[in-house]
Amino acid sequence: MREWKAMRGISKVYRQSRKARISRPTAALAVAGLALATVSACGSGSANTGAALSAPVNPFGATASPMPSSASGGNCNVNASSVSPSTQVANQSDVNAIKKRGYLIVGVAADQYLTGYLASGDVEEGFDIDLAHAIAKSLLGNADAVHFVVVSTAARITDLQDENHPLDMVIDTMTITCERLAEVDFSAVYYDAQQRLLVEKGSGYTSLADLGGKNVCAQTGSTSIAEIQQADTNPKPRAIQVTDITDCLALLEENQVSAISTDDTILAGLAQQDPSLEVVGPRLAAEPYGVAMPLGETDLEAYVNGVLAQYEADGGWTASYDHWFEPSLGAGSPPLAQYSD
Amino acid sequence: MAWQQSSTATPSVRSARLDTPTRLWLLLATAVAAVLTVGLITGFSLAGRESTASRTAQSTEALYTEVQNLSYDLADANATAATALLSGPETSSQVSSRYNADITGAEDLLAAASQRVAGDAYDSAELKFVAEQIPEYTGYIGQALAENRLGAPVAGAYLRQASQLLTGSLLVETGDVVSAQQSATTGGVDSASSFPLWIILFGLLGFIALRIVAHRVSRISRRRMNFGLFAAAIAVIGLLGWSLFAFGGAGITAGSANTDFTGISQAQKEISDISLAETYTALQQIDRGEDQGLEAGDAKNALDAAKPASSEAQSSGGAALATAQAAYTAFDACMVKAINLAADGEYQTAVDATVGTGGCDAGDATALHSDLLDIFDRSQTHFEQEMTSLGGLYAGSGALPVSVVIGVLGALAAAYGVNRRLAEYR
Repeated sequence: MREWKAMRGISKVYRQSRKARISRPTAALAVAGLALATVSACGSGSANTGAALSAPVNPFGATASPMPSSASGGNCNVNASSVSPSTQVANQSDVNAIKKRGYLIVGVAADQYLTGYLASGDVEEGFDIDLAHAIAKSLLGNADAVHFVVVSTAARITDLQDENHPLDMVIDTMTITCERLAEVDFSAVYYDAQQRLLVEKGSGYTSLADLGGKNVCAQTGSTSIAEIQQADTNPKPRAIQVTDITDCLALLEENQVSAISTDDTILAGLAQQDPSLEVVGPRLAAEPYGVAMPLGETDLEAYVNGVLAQYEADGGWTASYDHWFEPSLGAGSPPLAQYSD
Repeated sequence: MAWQQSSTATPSVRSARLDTPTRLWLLLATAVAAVLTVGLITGFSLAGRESTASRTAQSTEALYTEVQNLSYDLADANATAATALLSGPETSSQVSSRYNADITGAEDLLAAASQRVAGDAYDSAELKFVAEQIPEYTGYIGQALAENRLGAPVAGAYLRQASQLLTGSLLVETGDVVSAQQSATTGGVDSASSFPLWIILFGLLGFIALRIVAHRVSRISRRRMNFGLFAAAIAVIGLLGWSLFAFGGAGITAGSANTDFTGISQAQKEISDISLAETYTALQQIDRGEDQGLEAGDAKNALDAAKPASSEAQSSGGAALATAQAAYTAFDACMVKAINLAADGEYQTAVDATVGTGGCDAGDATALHSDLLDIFDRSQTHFEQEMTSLGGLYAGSGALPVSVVIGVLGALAAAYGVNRRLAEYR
C-alpha cells in the first residue's frame, strides 16, 4: 500500500490502474517500469470533451531515462579550462560592451535557496548573487549595476547562446563539464561543490550504495541524474527527476523518495527548510561551479577570472560562504585557482 | 300462411341473421380494441416523453450542473491557494474564507451528486474516487500554506502537487462525469422530443380498423352513419392530432432547451477556466522559470478557453454576453500582461499585477466571474422554462390518464354505436 502511494505521487499512474480495476499494489508493480510512458499517457489519455475542463497535466515527477555520465567526464580538465586573469582585457570588446551599457545582465536561478533565490521584495539573494554583485562592482564600480534574468536549469545554455536573449553570463550553480565546454565558456572554478545526499536524520542512508532499488530525486537536466543511474550498487537506485528542486523536498517529506541527490549548496538550502533532514555522505562527484559565458568571449572570461581571484583574496568569497552555507555545510575555503594557459 | 311462408324461408335467413350479431360483436370488439390501443399507445408514448423531459431537467441536468459546479469549486480553491502564496507569507482571512467555502461547497456538491448518481456504477465510482482524493488535495494545500507562512520555497512544491492532483485526476474524474451527463442531458432532451413513429402507425391502423368496422356495420344495418363509431374515429384523430401537435411543439422547444443547455455548459466551463488561468499564472510566478514556459502556455490556453462564446447570446441575451465579453477583454489583457512580465523574469512586477491592489485577481476576475454567472443563471432559467414547457405539451404528468380517458371514451362510443345495431337483433 505504501509503495502504491509512493508511486502514485511520482508517476500518477493510479488513474489508469483504477480504470482497469486492478489492485493498487499490483498496479504499482505493473507500472513501475513504465512510469515515463504512463506520465505522458496521463497528459493525453483522458477524454475531456464538450464542457469538461481540459486542464493540462504537468507531471510532478517522473522516472528519468538513462543518461550518459557527464559530470566532469570527457577528455578535458574541467578544473583548468579557463584562461588566466589578465589586466589587458579591461578595454576589449566584450567587456567594453558591458561598460557601455552600464549594467551587467546575469542569468540566475530564482528558486534555489541560499544560492540564487528571489526573496520577497523582488530581491535576488544567495551565494551566486553575491558573486554577480562583486563582478558588477569591479566592472562598473557599482555592485547594484546588475540586471538579473531568471533562467531555468535546463535552459541555461540555450539562453546564453540565444542572440535574442542578451545574457552576459550565467551564475547559477552551473557545473563545468566537458560537454558544456563545447557549448559555452566557463570562468575558473568559483566553488568546488560536491554532489551529496539529503536524507532523513536517522534513516541510516549515508551513500548511494545504501539506496539500491530506492527512489532518489534529482532535478531534470542536472548532472545528478547520471550519477544516480550509474551508482555502484545492485540494484541501482531509481532516479526520479523533477523540474523544480523543491519538488524533491516535497517528495522526500512524503516518503515518496528516500533521498535527494544534488550539489551540497542546493542541499543546504533544502535542509534549511526542514530540520529533520541532513546532508550526508562522501562526495559522489565533483561539481566545480563556473561562471558561464558565451563561447569565444575570452576577454570577458579573463576579466571575470581576475574578479574571482580578487574576490577570493579579499575575503569576499569567505564572507559570502559563511553567510549562506557555513551553518549547514561547515567551514569552507575557496577552490584553488587553475587555468588552462 | 304468410307466417308459414315466412317460416319456410327461415332456416337460411335465420342462419344469416344468427351470424350477424356475432359479426357485430366481433366488429364491436375490434373497434373497442383499436381505439383503446391507440389511446394506450399514445398515452404511454406521451407519458414516456414527459417522464424523459422531467428526468432530464430534474435529475440529469441537475447532476451535470452539480458536478460542473464541483469542478469549479475545486478549481477556484486551487486558484485561491495559489494566489495566497503569491500574496505573501500570511494568508488573509478573506482568502482563507474563500478557500474554505470552496472546499465546503465542493464537499456538499459531491454529497448531493453522489446521491443523485446512485445507480450509475461508473459515474458513482468516479465521484467516489473524487471523494477519496479531496482530503489528499486539501492536505497538500494545507502543507503549502503552512510552509509559505514559514517562508520556505517548498510551499510552491506542495502547491504544484495539489495542482497536479487537481488537473491530473480530480478534474479528469469530474470531467468524465460532466461529459457523461452532458451527453445524457442533450440525449434526454432529444429523446423527450423525438416523434414516435409507432403512434402514426397504430393511429392509422386504428383509424382504418374503425373505418372497416363502420363500413361493415353500415352494410349490415343499412345505415350510412354510426355516430358511436364516428365519435370513436374522432377520438383516434384527436389522439393523433394531439400527438402531432405535442411532438411538433416539443421539437421546437427541445431545440431551444438544447441551445440554453449549451449556454449553461459554456458559461460553467468558462467560469472554471478563469480559475485555471489564475492557477497557472500563479504557478508560473511561483516556479520562476523552472517550468520551461509550460505554465505560461497553460495559462494562456485557459484564458482563451474562458472567452465567452458568442453563441451564449442565444440563451442569455446579447446584453449579458456583451458585458461578459467586455469583462473578459479587461481580464485577458491584465493576465497576459502578468504572464509576459513573469516570462521576462519580472516576477515581483508580475505578482503585483496579479494579486496587488487593482490586480487581475481583485477586480477583473471577479467581474468576469460575475458576468459569466449571470449568463449561466439566465441560461439555466431559460432551460428550466423550456423543459417545463416541453412537459406541458405532453399534459405534464396527465399524459397517460388523459390519453387513456380519451381512448376509453372513444371505445365506449364505438361500443355504444355498434351495440345500438346489436340491439336490433335482440
